[in-house]
Amino acid sequence: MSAIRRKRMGIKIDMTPMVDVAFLLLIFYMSTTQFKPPDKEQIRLPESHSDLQAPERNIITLTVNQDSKLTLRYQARDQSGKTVKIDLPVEPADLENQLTRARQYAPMAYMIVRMDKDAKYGTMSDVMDVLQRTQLTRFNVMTEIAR
Amino acid sequence: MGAVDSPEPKERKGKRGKRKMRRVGIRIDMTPMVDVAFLLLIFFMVTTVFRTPRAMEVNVPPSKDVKVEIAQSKVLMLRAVEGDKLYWNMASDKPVLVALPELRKVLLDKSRQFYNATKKESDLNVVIKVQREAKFHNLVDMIDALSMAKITRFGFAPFSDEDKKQLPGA
Repeated sequence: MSAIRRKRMGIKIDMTPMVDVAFLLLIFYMSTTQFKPPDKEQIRLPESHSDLQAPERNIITLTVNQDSKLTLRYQARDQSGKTVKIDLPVEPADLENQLTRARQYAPMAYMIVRMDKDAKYGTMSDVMDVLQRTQLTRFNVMTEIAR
Repeated sequence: MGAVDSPEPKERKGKRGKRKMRRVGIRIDMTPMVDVAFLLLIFFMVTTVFRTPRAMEVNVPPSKDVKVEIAQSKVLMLRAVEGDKLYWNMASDKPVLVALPELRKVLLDKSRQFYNATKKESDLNVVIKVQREAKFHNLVDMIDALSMAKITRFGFAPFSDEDKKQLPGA
């Protein structure tokens, strides 16, 4: 410290406004943050360098977990205007029917395939066959950005 | 609320023996701690990137029975088998086991080698064969490597026993 003794004047700064602002910011973010709805099953997505943002609205999501269990999820409006929310497990044999039904409800929806990275390729091969047959030829494979 | 006011330290020469500890009112200045806290906060506010879900677009042809004529000399075949093993071979060469980084280099080289300037794309015909027991991410890695080498068109073919026999070490 300084060898020369300086005459120090006592300075008192009132910190109340700063703490107020800090708490206001905190409360703002606490009330406006939205969390993603928790996934029923944990899927580890494969990595890719694709930077395309996955669409979030008007989508039909087919989730395939590590054991090759399929789940179909989508939200659509039927003719009477009621919102139809589907979230159910699907047998591979039944997938074609379910997808055809989904396309009736949501004809312009994007198709998203969320598949665990360690799931067997055979399942994907079958899924792609069904997608071809149901005319869903453009689909998105959900991935995480590779670092 | 906070006070920046520190009492002057007592000057003392060397150690004294037992002396009566006179308690002086101690005021700790918290300003540096608050500064560090806000600096950390601002650092994380600025550098955090949320992991948004990304997607890879894949288009499949509407019909499975489209026969495509391809020149055998321009075929690059990629195979993936169980155990995260990837093989590549050009035309009728022997399949070579590769790791993913090498595969990316190979694809880039081949893509440039077969680049067709008039069509502004690679003339290379890529065929992917993945064993059913292989992992899904093998396929994603291959498609990803292809798109990094700007090869956007490729074909799928079923993985047969014949394909397995041609692999080294089979």
